[in-house]
Amino acid sequence: MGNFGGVVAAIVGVVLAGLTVVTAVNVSQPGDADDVSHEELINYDDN
Amino acid sequence: MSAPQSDLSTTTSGAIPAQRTAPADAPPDSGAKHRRAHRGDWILLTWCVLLTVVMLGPLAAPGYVLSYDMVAVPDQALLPSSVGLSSAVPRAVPLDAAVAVLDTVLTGQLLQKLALAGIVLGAALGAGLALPKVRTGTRLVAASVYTWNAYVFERLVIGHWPTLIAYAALPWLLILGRRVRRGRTSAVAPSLLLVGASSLTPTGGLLAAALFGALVLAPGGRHGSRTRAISAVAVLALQAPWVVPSVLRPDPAVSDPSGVAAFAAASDSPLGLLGSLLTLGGIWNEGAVPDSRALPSAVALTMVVLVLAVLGATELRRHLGRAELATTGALAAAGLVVAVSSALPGGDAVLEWLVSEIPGGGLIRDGQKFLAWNALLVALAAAAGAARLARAAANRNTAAAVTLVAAVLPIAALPDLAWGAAGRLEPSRYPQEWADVRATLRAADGDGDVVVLPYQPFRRFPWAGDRAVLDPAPRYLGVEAVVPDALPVGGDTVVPGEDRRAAELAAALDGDDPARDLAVLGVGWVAVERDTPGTIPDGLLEALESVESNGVLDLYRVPGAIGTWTRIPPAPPVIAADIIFSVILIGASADVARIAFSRRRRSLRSQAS
Repeated sequence: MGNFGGVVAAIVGVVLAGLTVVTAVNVSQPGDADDVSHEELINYDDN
Repeated sequence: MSAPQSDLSTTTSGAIPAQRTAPADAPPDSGAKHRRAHRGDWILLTWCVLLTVVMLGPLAAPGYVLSYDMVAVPDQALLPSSVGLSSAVPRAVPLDAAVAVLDTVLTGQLLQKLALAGIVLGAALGAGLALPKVRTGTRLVAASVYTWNAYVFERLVIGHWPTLIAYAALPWLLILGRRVRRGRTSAVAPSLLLVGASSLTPTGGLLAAALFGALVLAPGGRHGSRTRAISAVAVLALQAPWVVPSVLRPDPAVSDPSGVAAFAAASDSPLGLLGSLLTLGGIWNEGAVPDSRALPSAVALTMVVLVLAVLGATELRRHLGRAELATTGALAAAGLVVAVSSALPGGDAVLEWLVSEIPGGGLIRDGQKFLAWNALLVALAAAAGAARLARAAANRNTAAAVTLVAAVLPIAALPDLAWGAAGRLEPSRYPQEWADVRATLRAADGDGDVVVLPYQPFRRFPWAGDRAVLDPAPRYLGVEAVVPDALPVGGDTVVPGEDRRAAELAAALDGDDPARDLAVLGVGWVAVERDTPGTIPDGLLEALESVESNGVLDLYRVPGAIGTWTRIPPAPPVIAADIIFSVILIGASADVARIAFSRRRRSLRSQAS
């Protein structure tokens, strides 16, 4: 039972680490947020 | 399953480090227990400081953080409008007065940075201490989940830092409310200080007053009826600075119903609206949403945090008293209902009626902000869930690893909150020309208030990263200003404001003789920002007297006799409300100081003997 729990914990740990790396890599990619609107009227929800 | 006893599992009881001393007559094993508890407190404090530094590190650079509604200026003036004596709805009252007073001591730049750092550190530490008698690792999880989430990101980026003052106060109010219920009247004064700080804006006041008020008034507890009455009355009185000018303004404090749809919570992740709200996101403004919310990997990690909270929800009964659990649970449910209400059948109609018919009803139109109560419950439940998982672990090392992973999980799920929300909270410096115009205005003897053109609420300055930001000039210039409060949202919607003078000024600027109409409306000065998009009414500037022309922020004087706008709340009751607010805070501060002094004296006597 203890070994089984350890194996599950290890698998979960690897999955979480993978998700963390994928998130960190993707979030650091330059997005569209740098596109600046040059409309005369600036909206409250403009970037 | 045995309880692990590593550093991450030291049992503590919820006091701050400075208060932790082992009793002189305690047996040896009790002393060791206290040393472990003391060490646990320092581990928690270190973790909270680390979270704060990683989140707000870039703010150490010189400058002012300008992001949407977040505006800071070098030296905000204390003006009648700072306490609500103006035609505008008192949204930042008495915040503006508090900032004007405090920045004379601290400078505006330092005040802003101390406030933001204090919010993050205070929120983390409060959440970490809110669960009594849990292991240090559990405390770290609570601190992480409460501090590092979409709600904090979105409210920081949109600039609602006064709301976040209340957010940071909530876990402390839970702790102090618990002590008041146990009959410790010494906890009333610090509670009132926190409610007062939260009540610098209406939303913050509602968030904090509801939690502390409900805790104190809930049935049961060892506190007497006198403590209940004094606490409840004081909490209500602390709302007076914004309630009184709202109620007594000549025009009713009702808002346009179109704001309900414009500021309704929105799905900001693949989880849909409900999923976004349950994971503490869902702000209406997509410009304030972290990029990571769209990533499936980040969503998966966020869901793990939510699963921890579900696992720990039933555990909370063991940690919190019945009244605490009922209060936090009821408020969390209320917050979720308010946030999601516009999406419910008939909900938008009810909200529109409330907003347009009930004075002050506009407070609920951005309902996602009330998820602050949910965040507290989610953080504590997730911490309890992590503790439950750790208890089920086969050995100490696995238990410690589970707790550590749970503490780091919120950061992995929202990495773009790090380092100033991935650059969105970068400090900016005002051009020198702004200081020149402010000096000119303050030195000039002339009647009337100032209006800043282009006449729209938001700006996009090249020296502030071209980000959309509420115009800082009205606060920067140090004189009374008429500020447009009609809000352009979503490209084709303009939500009308509540300020009649601002609306009449907009009409005047579109009229045949704007210079004459400006004078009639009590405007004696026109400042023109040249480095932001927007239009200037044709022929207006030619009809004005140029006072300063630098190509960045130009200043003009309106010729002729300047009128006075008199449709403002009556001064005596508004000032009386501010005096009551100040007296309560001064009294509470004195009581906190007295208690701290007498504790210190007892501690020194104990050491001497």
